[in-house]
Amino acid sequence: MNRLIVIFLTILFQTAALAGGTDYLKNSWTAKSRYLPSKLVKEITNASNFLPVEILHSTIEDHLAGPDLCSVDFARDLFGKAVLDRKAFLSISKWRYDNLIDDLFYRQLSFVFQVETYLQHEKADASDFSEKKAMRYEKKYELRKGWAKLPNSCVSTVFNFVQTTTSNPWGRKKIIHTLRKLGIINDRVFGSLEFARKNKRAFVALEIRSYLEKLKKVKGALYSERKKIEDKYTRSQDGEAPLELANRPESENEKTQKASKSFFIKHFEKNQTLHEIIYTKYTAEQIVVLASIILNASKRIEADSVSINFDFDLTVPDDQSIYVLSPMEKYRLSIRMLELDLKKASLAFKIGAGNIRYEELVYASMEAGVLKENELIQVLKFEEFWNPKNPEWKKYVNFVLSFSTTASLALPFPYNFIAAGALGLIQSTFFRQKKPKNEEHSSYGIF
Amino acid sequence: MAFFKSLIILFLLFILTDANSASVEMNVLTRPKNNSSKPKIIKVALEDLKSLSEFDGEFFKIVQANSDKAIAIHGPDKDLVLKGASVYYHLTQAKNFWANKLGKNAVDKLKQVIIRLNVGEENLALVNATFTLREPDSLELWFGRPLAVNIDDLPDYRREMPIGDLFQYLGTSGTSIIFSNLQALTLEKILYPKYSVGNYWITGLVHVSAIALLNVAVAGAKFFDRLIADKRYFKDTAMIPESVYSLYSLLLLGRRVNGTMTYPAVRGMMDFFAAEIAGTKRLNKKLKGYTSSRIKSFFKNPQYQTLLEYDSLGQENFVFELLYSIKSAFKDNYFPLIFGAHHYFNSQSPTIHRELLESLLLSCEKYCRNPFTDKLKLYEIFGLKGL
Repeated sequence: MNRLIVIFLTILFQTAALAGGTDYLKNSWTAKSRYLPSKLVKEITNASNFLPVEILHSTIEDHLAGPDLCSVDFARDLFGKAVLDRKAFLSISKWRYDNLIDDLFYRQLSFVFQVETYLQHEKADASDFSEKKAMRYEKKYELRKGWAKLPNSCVSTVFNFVQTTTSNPWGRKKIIHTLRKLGIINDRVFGSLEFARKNKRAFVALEIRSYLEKLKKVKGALYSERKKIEDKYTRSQDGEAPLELANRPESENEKTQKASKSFFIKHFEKNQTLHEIIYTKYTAEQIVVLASIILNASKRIEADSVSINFDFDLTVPDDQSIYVLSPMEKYRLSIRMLELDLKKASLAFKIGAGNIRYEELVYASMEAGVLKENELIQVLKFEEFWNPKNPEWKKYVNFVLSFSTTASLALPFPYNFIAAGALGLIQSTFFRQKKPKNEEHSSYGIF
Repeated sequence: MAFFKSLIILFLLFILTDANSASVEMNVLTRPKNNSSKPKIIKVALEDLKSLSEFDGEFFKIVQANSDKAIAIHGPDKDLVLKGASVYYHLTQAKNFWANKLGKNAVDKLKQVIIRLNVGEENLALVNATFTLREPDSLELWFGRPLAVNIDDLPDYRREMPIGDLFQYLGTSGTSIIFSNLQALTLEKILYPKYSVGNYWITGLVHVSAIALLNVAVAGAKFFDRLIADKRYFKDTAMIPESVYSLYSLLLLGRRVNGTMTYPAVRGMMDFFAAEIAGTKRLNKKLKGYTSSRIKSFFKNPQYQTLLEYDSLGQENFVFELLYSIKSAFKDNYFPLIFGAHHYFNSQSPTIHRELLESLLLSCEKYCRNPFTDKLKLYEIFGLKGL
């Protein structure tokens, strides 16, 4: 009897845990306030006299012409102050709140302010790290050799250097301390790195100038190619003039925009946005390559005709046959080729970037002008071809299944038969169903 | 007296001014719009009639079989008059629908259409066929005679057999279980004769007789179905509003699909327009589960098969279901998309998996709000339908 109670309770708790899910996150999120805590938003609404965003644009223009500066110096130039204060921070937050600057810019500048306030109140200390230790780690990681190749000693470059030297978080701590002990980096850089490490802050290892250069190369790079696809839609048709409807439909609607919002919700929940991931993980050229994968796939889907040629004998003329694909075959083939392209790109980029997620591909294509915001959701569905999602009901079924297998062994005689019966019932009813037909080829086609 | 005189003058004036398009109140058979399938006889006004004595209108002329004379409104055959009135009324409904969608000029281009009722000999064909003839001068719609079909005359695949299907399923699975048991017994008898318990021959006989009984039950269930089901079906195509709507749509849009009108891809689309004209969800409700036009079965998952397109089991219902799922996906913009597809039927033998899909995709390029994503949405729907 006790056993039954325990089993009942486990069912209750597990179902409660399953039912909770991530729904509360979706409801609490709004586009503007996600990255700004509610306290900060209150402060912005109460404060006045913010700096206009034009100042930012003019400083950027100056720095694009001159030498590359670290983000701390950039922030000082921006506000014309030796010590960065709270008021300056509030005007950055206001810009972000009004969507005048993007998340990556905001992340970089706000990090500078956070480090400034951190260094004012606390002092990062490397005194308990002995010189013997420092020499040992210098030998192990060959820090001086690697250091000689670096262009400057900005926080972001040092951060990148540490990241690439080791993936172990303890190792990273040791490297930072060694660099300070050997006198390679100053207190400020050391403090900022320690702050990022201790608070587990998502840190953007990207300098402002290189980010702007990347943006220049990527933004709308493939837009003209995409426009070619759209131009096809307005081609004139041959033949008799067709019967026309009296009322033509309007061109735009709001529903598609709503759908695109859920795409952003999904990714803003996490610590790093897709925007940040893409610009820090890949070079500008790589982003354009990723976007061109989606462009090629959509070109293939939009193709007027696709055929497979069989050349039986190259020496004999006209000894061949042609198979013309049907629209659905063309569609499935294009998506499979997209998967192949993605795998190839993954292999090619592997040394620098690791595996490529399909979402990154889709976001990159939006940046390069291949996709529009309201088209993301539909293109994201392609992934279900090679990576089908488990539906919600299947989670519950799997839970009951795992539970009844143990119950059929653990329960005494008459009850274990009930559990075994339930097991059989579940397997016969739910698992007899085939996969959604979209994933398979049709009853007639070859793809 | 002066009052009566003025009345007569008024009446004469009325006739003179409205001589070209008279309207008569008549009983017609129609389906109420509250999704119920039971037809009702209601009184409506038939419009655009040339005279008050015949079904001879500006747009439609209803005649019987081969004759050229229109059916009399007050004729002796009341069934024929009811049928004539119903067909006239539903054709007007369809005409009004298309006039609303395409503008009045597009519909008025059609000259007077001649509708022939009760064509052909009695019980000549099993299916009460309807034909559309389209020649440069005369347009004609033909409706066959009312048909009484005996259930015994129908082949198995055309009959509804709920009990037969159930027994078929139980029979096949039961037979395989019993047979495998018998096999195990036989192996035991041959390989380990010492361990076999009981008399093998008696248990074997029981198994074999069980299989035989099951098969008899399966065969018997088909006869049992006949006891429950209706023994005779009475079918009169002219009295079905949706079939009239479908035929008128074919007549109107037939210019593009000329010569291909018997193909399921085209007929299914016209059926969809018929459902639109009827304005009810009834057709979709009734057709669910019939998507492949085969027998309705609990255990069989209907799936598209290309071969069936060229078979006697057409795929009109499948096309209808496909278009209906497009309707539910493109809620407020479905009609131009589906309507536009008929422009692109250029092939002489349009198939569902190729020409229908191509024409829908081409139509989307022209009529969709955002062709790039809407075409992807269409591909998704096609995939889920098993195409």
